[in-house]
Amino acid sequence: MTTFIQTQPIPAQPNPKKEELSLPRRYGKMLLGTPTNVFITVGCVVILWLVVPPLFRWLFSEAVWAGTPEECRQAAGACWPFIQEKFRFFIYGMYPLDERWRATLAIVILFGITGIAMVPRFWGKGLVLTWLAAIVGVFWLLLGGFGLPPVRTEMIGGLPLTLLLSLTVLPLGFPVGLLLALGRRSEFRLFRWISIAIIEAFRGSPLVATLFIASVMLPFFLPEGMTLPKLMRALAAFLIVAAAYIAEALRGGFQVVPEGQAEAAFSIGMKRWQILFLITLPQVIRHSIPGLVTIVVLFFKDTSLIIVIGMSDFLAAIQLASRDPAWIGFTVEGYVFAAAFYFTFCYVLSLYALRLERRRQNH
Amino acid sequence: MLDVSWRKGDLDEAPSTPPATTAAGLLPPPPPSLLGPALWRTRRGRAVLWQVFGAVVLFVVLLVFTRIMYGNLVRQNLNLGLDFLNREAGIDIAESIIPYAPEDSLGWMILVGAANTLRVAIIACILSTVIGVVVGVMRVSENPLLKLVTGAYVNLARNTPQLLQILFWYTLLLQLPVVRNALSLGDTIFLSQRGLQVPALEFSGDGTGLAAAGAAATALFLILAPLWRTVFGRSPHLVTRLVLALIAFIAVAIAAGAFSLSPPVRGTFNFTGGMTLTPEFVALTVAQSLYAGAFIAELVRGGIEGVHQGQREAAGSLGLSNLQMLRLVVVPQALLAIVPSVTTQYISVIKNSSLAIAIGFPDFFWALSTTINFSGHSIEGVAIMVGGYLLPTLLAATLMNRFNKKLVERGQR
Repeated sequence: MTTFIQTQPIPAQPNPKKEELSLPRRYGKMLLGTPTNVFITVGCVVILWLVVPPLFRWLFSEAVWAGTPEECRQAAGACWPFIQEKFRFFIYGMYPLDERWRATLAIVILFGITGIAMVPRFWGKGLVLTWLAAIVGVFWLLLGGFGLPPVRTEMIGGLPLTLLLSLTVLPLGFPVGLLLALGRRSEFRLFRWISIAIIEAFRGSPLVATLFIASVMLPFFLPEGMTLPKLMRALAAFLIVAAAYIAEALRGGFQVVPEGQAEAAFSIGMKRWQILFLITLPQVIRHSIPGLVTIVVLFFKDTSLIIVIGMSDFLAAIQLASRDPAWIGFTVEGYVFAAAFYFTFCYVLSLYALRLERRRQNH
Repeated sequence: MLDVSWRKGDLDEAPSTPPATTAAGLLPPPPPSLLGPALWRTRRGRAVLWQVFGAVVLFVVLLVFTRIMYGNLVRQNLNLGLDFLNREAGIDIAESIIPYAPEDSLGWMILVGAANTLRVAIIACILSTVIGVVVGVMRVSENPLLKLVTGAYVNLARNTPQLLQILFWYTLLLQLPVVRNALSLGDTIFLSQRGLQVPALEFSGDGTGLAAAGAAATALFLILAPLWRTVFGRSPHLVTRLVLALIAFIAVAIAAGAFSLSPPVRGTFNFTGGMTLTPEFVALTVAQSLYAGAFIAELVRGGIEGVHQGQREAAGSLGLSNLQMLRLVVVPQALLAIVPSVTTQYISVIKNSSLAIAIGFPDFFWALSTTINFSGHSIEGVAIMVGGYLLPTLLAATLMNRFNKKLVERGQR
């Protein structure tokens, strides 16, 4: 009977070599490595060939960059003078001419505070206060009063309105959202039920419907003789919907913080509100920031829905401008411009949320 | 989290100062109260107090609002009630899949709107799922060109407002050539200013053909199982049986002349025959499908990438091919992870179809806002609106809970 026993030690083998290719060869392999990949690459090239050159021609080479509507109509490409001509209207809407510097300042402040809030080094109590001050300042600038000539709320439109509704919704809705999130995990059944009902109702119904309801129903619940401007009604609707979404984002954060921390804090004699504000909440917020940024993106896009209740934000201003008889027929250009603007802002924020998410996972 | 209760005697505050000692020694303990510790000193007692307080506040707030609302209603001579739903609508609706005439009631008009919403939502859900799955799988490919193309689509669709996308597609559709110069695909499908003209399946005959087809399909469905077993030695899959029965149904129905295909014929100003999908409908469906498709694609990609690398390697070492690995190992696990989020997407599709109002498509929201403007019954109208939109949400939540429970039972989560 033969036996197979290794008597000689096998010498150590070198590590399997990692395949190292030069950059062009690596890309060559990725693009044309297998028959499937060749097929995919050819398909993509065909799609790009069909889409990119006509798009380029329309956007750039055959487009009109300066001129009159008549010149535009004769050209095959896009009509950019339309955008140049109407640019101020897109930005300011119906805002009074003499007061436009206030709208400009408001835009700068809102963009500035958003930029500052994106830097993790500035996260803290100071930022919250600055943000609140900025919101108060922007409202003051746009609406007037207290030394500035007042502007009717119906006159506020264009970009400031878009920014006002989308960027103030997070800080203003946050306390309500926090209350709802706490209510949802409360040990008191009554509070839990109310919170769940509010969260689910406002997350479940379309924003358009909520806006419509706010503009139709709120007057019914106001005492006689009291009216609320449309802007405030829209803001109220956005606020409560944002609060519902924020509550949902915070819920995930609350689940992450281990219970032992609150117990430990309790055992060293901290009060409940101290535990909440000093121990739990900072961690919860840190965990929910990507979700909160996503909410900002969502609201930045969805502010355009206030068109339904007859207010004109950035997108609505573009729609209005394209009805100008002198410049009729260039709606698509307006929409492309709007898409570029929205895309830039939302894409940057989305990338930022993604980076925060990665950073959190690496922690 | 904060459920830390003081277990000793149910008192949550330890005596803050140690009992003072006097010359005579320790003070005697306080006499036990007949009613037990005061209500606000125990945790449970305070819970009761808080809830009672909350309930009273809620009640007062509701009472105040109801009184204000009642006062406003009286002043405006409005009375609550659903009678207005029986009033004649008097509005023409450009498209509906259930029969409608302006003489019908407002209630019926709302139903027509709901049917339109569902039609858009169902088609958009199917299309967005197809787009999402295909693009999502493409996104995990290693081909950089494919990544570029699909990434461009997904990012563009996700980062622009949906309203803008709907308006964009609608404007583009309206700039198409007139009927006379309509773009056509083999002279059966036409795309023009008036929308998409497709062949229609028309019901003809007296129903005998349909009955015969139904009978044939049922018969095939029933005899297929024993037949399959005698030939192949195992039971056929339910899906196989259903698909074969469906094929039989269609074949017999066409053979018996129960249906006839009516192709559109191009006229000078309009088409005759066929079925018209209006520009509003096409724009809304396309925009919804592309928007939701991009979100589903990201979910699919996340689900696939979430499957542990080791699983793939294990599948590879078992000798499974790439396709087998995807079908047998990756997809089943990814599917479990993404089903809840995809359901949320479907709900969003139903919710977002309310944006149809911007291009004048008669959907549920349009019907209700028109009804409210006509009749002034805003409170009842809003109640119907909220109820209508919350119904699918609650339904989906229930289904998802059941689905999750099933997974837990099977030990997969």
